[in-house]
Amino acid sequence: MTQSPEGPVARTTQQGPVFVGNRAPRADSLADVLERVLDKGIVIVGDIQVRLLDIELLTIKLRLMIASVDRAREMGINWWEGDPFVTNLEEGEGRDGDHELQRRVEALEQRLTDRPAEEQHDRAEPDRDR
Amino acid sequence: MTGSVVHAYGVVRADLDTDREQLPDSGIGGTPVRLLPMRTIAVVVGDLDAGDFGEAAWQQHAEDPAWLEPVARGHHQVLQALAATSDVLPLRLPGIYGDDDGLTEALASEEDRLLERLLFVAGHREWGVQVFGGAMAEPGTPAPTTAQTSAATSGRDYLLRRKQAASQRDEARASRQRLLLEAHRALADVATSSVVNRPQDRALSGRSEPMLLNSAHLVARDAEQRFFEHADQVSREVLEPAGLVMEISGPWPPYNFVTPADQEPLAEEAR
Repeated sequence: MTQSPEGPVARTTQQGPVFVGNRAPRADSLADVLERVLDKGIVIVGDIQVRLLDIELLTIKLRLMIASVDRAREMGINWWEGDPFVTNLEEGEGRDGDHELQRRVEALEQRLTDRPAEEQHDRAEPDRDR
Repeated sequence: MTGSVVHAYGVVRADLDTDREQLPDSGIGGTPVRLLPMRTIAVVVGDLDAGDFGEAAWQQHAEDPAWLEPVARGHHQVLQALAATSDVLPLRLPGIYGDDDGLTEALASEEDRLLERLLFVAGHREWGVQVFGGAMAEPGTPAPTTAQTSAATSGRDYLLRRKQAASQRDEARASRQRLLLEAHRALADVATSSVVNRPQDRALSGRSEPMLLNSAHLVARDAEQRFFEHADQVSREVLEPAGLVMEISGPWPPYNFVTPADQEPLAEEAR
């Protein structure tokens, strides 16, 4: 790790580079990009979004991959739960968030199953998990 | 060509000066990007081949990383380029609409709210902060030698030792939580707004160390210097001695701040 001339002090210009603990910010990882483009950002619901239920499923699955609360607790990172300041940041997705997500996955999957056959045929995959 | 769909990247102010604040040359699949003006806002859109990027394509390929990655990156790069010269609110994928009218209709009732939010994020950039830890030193592992000799003596000793190990582990966890919270607060203090997201699973982050903190901060440009100073300081003085590594990513368009958080400004809450 190279020491910057003025020592390990953070600095930035308008466009970077930034050094924190002598590390430059890392390149946009696919995980960070996916988390943002699929799970953040404004949702404007048009006709197509209504029909793309399984895409909502995808984003929910992605959110489930963003560590379940139980696993987080196992790792000892439940610190947001007891702290009102941080709990507020959680936007109500704390303890019960996973149950709510699981419930939505099930509801959406049910709706997909119930869709008329003609909408199903082009995406029928025998090994699809239900 | 099987017809086209309108892909929406993000929302900018309608009075965007397109001479100075240029639109990116191309978006997803190398297609041109254009501005669809409304009353007070404008949507940055592109026309994509319906066969390649339309509804059926999403249904077929959404879980195929080889298809999804270039779409996600193409979407992100347009927003990133816009954010370099102007304020933009990112739209979530899949943002495809049948035509311009379908999109403006869906957006019409949101226009005022979006303009208000654009003004809120103006002059800010989003920075991601993640903290990774090596495997936590498990204090539960009993010290050998004397403990081992006594191990055979009685079940009561065994239980006692188990209990001590468990309480040491709890203490270690609690102390790590305090460090993470201290680090988070030091950064949130400088930010206009902050969001704590769930840590990414290793399957998503692709890293061997667990992610312990996954947060995003909306920072005014003139506060960035201070933000990085705080980050550098807590990184060196609080996290590194405990074997924790802080990584900053960004600048990002304000993906995490398109809707108001429950509490704003957060810096006030922290006092």
